[in-house]
Amino acid sequence: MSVTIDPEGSETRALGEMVDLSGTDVLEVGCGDGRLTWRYADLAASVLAIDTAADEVEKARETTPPRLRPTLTFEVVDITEDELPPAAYDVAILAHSL
Amino acid sequence: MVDALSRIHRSLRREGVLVDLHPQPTNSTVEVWQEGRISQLGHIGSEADVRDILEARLRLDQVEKDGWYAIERRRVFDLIFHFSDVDEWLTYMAEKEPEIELPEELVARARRLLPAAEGELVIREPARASALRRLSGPGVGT
Repeated sequence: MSVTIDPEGSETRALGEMVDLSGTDVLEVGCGDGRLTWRYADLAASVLAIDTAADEVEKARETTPPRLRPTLTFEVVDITEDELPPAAYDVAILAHSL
Repeated sequence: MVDALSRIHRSLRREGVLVDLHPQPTNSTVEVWQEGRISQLGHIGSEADVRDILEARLRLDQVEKDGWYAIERRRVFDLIFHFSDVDEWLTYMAEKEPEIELPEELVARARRLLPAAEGELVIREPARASALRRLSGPGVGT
């Protein structure tokens, strides 16, 4: 199955208009296969991208570009149940997941 | 406060920002793009999706009203999905959006308009981006 989502970059532009991600520590909730994560991760100092879907997270890990591996982590986490560190992030992105 | 938003609030630094990206509570538009021409075929969506989106909005509104976050910016945009043929779209919908019933006439029209490898089937999903600044909580200020 092949689908191209947002090649126009509308979502990425909207995100960029909401917050300046340069040098920030980011928590992304509902990252799925990392489709949105790839588009901003270069800007951030660090990204923890989480999702409850283990298969999607695995796909995201497998396709993480090597240059992003030092600063980008994908984890299977349920934010309503699992503990995350307090006061650790400058930005939280809720991607289609509230 | 709603649990996920409460957990995020706890994990954000003072003055941190929550960005919510969410579909609008409206149907998506189905289009065929062919040789520079756009044909609108109709709309798709589900009542359950609209209900979920409206509930999510209420949760965001509530935490803002309660003083946990303050809205700073908001804008709408179209999230666009491109499929090279109708079967690809149907496979995607069956896997990712099984609750959406696709009108037979709409699918038939898409097949008529989009013979293999001549154009694209496009879904235009209206969405909203919101930036909310973290506050310390009710009555505490920032």
